[in-house]
Amino acid sequence: MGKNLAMSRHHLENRLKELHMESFGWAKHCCGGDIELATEALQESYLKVLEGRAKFGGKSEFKTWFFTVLRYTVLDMKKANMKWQWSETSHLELTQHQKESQTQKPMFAKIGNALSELSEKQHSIVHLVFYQQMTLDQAANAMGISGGSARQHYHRAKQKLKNLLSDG
Amino acid sequence: MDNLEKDLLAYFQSHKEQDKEKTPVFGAMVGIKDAKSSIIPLVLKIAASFILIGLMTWFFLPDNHQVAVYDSPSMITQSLEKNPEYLWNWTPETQILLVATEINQSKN
Repeated sequence: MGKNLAMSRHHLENRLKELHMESFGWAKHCCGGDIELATEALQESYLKVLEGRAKFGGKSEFKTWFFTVLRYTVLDMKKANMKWQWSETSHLELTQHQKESQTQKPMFAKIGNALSELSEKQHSIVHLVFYQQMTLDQAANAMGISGGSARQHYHRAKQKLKNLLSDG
Repeated sequence: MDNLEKDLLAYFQSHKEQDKEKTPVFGAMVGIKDAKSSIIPLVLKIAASFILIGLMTWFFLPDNHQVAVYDSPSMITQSLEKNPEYLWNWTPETQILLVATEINQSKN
C-alpha cells in the first residue's frame, strides 16, 4: 500500500498547499511561461493526487515526486489536443524573459536572454537549482533523469551561460 | 558560490517575487473541479427526488382531488353525508379513505 493511501485527503491538501507557490513556478517553467496553461496543468496535477490517480510511493521526497507528476501532466497536455497552442507558446518564455528584463536590471536582461539559449533540460535544471533551490539529486528526481546526467546538464548549462554572458 | 551562481540566484529570486503576485489561490484551484463534481450529483439527487415525489403523488393520489381538503374526520363525515358518491370515487390506498370508510361503517 502506497503512502498516498495512508495520507488523508486533508493531509495531501496540506502538503500540496505548502508547495503551491513553488509548484506554480515549476508549472510555469514547464509550460514555457504561459500562466493559463500552467494553472490548468497544476490543477490537473492536484486532482490526480487528490483523487488517487497519482500515488506517492515514498521513494523520493514529496516535492520532487509532485514535480514529476506535474511534468508528466504538462507532457500529456502537449501530446493531447493542444498541439496547435504549444507551437505558439514555445517562445512565450523567451519573450516574457525579454519583456520582464527590460523593466529590470540590465544584468537580468542578459541572463534572461542567455537562459533562452539553453536546451530544455539545461534550462530546467538551472530553474530547479536556482528557483526551487533543489540539490542536483533532487532536480534529477524531478526531471526523471540520473544524477550523473543532471550534473552533466548543469555544468554544461553553467558553461554556456558563462560564455554567453561574457560575450554580451 | 561563484559570481554566475549569485547572479542566477538573484535573477530567479526576482522571478519568484513576481510569480507570487501571479500565483492563483490554492483553495480555488483544488475546489473548482471538486465543487463541480459534488454539485452535479447533488443537483441530480434533488431532481430525482422531485421526480419521485411527483410520480408517487400521481400514482397514489386518488382521482378525486377533493380528498386533500378533508383533513378531519368531521369534515369527511359531513362530506359523505352530502355526497355519498364520493366514497365510490376514492381508491382504497389512502389513509384518509380508511378513516372515511371506518366512519362510514360506524355510522351504519
